[in-house]
Amino acid sequence: MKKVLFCGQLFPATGEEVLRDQAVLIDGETIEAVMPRAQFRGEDYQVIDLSDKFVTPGLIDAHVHTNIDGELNFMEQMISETVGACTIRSLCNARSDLMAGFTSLRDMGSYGFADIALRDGINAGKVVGPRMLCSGLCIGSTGGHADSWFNPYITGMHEYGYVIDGPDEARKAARLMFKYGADQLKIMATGGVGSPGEPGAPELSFEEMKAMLDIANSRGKLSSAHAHGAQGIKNAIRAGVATIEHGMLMDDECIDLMAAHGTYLVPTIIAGDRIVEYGTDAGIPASAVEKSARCLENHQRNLAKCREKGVKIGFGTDAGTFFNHHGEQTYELVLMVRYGFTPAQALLAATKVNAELMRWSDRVGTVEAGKFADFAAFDQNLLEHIEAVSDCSFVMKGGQVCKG
Amino acid sequence: MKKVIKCGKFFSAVDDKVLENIAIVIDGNKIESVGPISGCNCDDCEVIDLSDKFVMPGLIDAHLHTLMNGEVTCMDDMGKKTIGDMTIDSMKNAQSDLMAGFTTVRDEGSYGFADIAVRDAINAGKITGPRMFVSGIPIGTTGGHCDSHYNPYITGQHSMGQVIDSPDAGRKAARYTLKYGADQIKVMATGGVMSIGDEPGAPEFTYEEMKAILDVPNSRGKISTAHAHGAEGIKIAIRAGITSIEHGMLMDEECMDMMVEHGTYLVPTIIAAERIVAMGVENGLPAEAVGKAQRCLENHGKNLEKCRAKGVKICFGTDAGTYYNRHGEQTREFGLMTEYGKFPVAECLIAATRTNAELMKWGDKVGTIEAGKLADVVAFDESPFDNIEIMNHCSFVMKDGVVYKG
Repeated sequence: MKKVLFCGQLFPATGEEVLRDQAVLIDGETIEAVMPRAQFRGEDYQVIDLSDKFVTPGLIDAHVHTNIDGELNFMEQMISETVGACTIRSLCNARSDLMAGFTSLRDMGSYGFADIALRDGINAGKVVGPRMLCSGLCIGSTGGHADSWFNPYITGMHEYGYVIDGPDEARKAARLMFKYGADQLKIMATGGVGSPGEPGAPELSFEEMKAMLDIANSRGKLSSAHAHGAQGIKNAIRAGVATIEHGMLMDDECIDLMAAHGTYLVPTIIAGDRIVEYGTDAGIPASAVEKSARCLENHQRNLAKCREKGVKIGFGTDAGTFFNHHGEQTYELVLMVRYGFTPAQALLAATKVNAELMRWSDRVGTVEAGKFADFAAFDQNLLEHIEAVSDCSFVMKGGQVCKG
Repeated sequence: MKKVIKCGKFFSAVDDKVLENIAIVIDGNKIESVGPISGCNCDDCEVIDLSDKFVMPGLIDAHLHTLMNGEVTCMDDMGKKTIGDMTIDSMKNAQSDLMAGFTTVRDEGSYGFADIAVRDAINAGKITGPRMFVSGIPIGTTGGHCDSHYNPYITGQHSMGQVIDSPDAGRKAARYTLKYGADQIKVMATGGVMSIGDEPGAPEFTYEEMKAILDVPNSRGKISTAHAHGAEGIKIAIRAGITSIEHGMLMDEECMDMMVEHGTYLVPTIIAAERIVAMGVENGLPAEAVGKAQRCLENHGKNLEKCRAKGVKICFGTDAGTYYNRHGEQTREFGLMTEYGKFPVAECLIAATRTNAELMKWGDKVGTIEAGKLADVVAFDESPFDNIEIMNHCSFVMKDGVVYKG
């Protein structure tokens, strides 16, 4: 049976406008038509009345890790649990995301290909969850952001990601990810906050990145780089990366390069914010707190420059990192507004722009005929009350009501 | 808030009687009391009205494999799927079992400890599913029932189970399996139907290997279970201290006498062979498997009758997951038990509840509807004493006091 959503306020994410009293007609898993409710004449439609709600396209988080959920001991957890346990944690976290309004996720790196198993299970209808675009294992260098910190006598696959050194190993690693079903490559271009290295310093050479990214680019696949420091960002852009993640220590040249290459930036403010907010009192390592504070220092100013220069800015949260729990990451929208984005810009980042970033704009990201019937709804107008985004009251994915 | 289930017909599995108009009072996840509706004072209880149903303890399947679901390609799939894939399939299959009325299942062997991950997630309330009692990775020999059949140049962990060829390796394998959280040890005592190139009639372990393996669970108060068709393999397993014999389709009279003497349980899994014979090569099954299944099934009914006569403790198990033997449909075993082995209906129901609970040493928790047991209750629209096939249409499932169906 077809369905119709009566939307009191609809933010279709095709532009910045909010439409009142709309009817969204749904046939199966796709949107059939969008029209003023007064014009709706359909019979035999199941009515879903959201006339007191603010309806948006299903939200998209372009940077999560479903295999972790803010645990302080995630490294120890990863090596003491089986891939099966990791898969189930991924499932639970992805469901929390869905219930918070995220009907699509980009998973930025998992363990044991649990993300891909979950994606395939969801797509096959075996389990309920959001649409997923997956990375498989992140690729980094020895001692880098994807490596583990166990002693040199521990062997086996205990790294968070896949460790390579040299273009040849890099190329093979990229091929391996695609072999096992990754939708994109995730590379660790610089050090990070949660790992022992230096966020400002590059961790992969240009040649290593080029070797990996050539594989992705030659196959028309997406790629993404964890990158804070300016040199690492530039190396990644020049080597052909599609998106820069975090980018918290960029310089003006990075901004110009992103604008020139059409590179997307995914700011993940919340990842830095949670660590600074919770601090060492909550058990976060002092080095991570110090690095986060440093990363956040100029982030707001740099984001303002990025907007001015026309850098395409997506929405991503790094959900899963310290105290950055799945299902609570809508707080990033509040932070984006606090950092100078308009509510409409923030919402567009989490819908239309992210769909473009993921090359899924033919299917998700806006409320338009022909797209998947993915929706989130909230009790208040988010353009006026962005904080209401933390209280998602309705979720539909592919025409199926998941919440509300 | 307490719940009260009003049962039209009621089979507690404590004995073989069917009572009428019984009230089960449930407090939290436990049964508080059982008695006539007329004498039940539970004014503040939430009422679950099953007065038009046949109510019994949650079913227990003492032999299944959650990681597979009857696919013709299930043996090849194991070499291709990731452990994540298998975990999701295991969860989905276990949920199908629950919806068919199985509130408890004994997983008789998985891959990559997927069964243990699913059990732990269910117990932690992360996902829904039946109570699981699991084996981790089965233990067998080179070329045996849980070895793979890839060419000799393929390396890595591609066999379903752990392959051992000495008592020392057997001991280590048992310790390893228990280390990762198995509730029991599963051994492959003879060849099997689906495994290529082995012979169901032939033993696959020496007595010394079997003994080294089984001494580990026995010394820790854990149970053990042997896939065993042929008589010699069955006897080796019993002498070495096994808890239950699975399939046992090529047994002799000495096996039966030994099972009685040692108190060994038998889990007949008729459906596993029946599905393969019924579906045959025309549905894509390997001719070798069909031939072996026919041979296994030939005297199985007759042997089961003898086992019943001699007083062997007989459980209910299905091997669900094997060829065309799908999760959620394994209740067909009830009808097959009445057909092969001429089990009276009450014996079938008690096998699938009380006897299975005793086998798993869970007799204090599940298997009957009595005060103090966990509130695992299922119901059917008709009495299986009138129509055994109604077991294929479970209409109500409660596990731990929570209603999952109906």
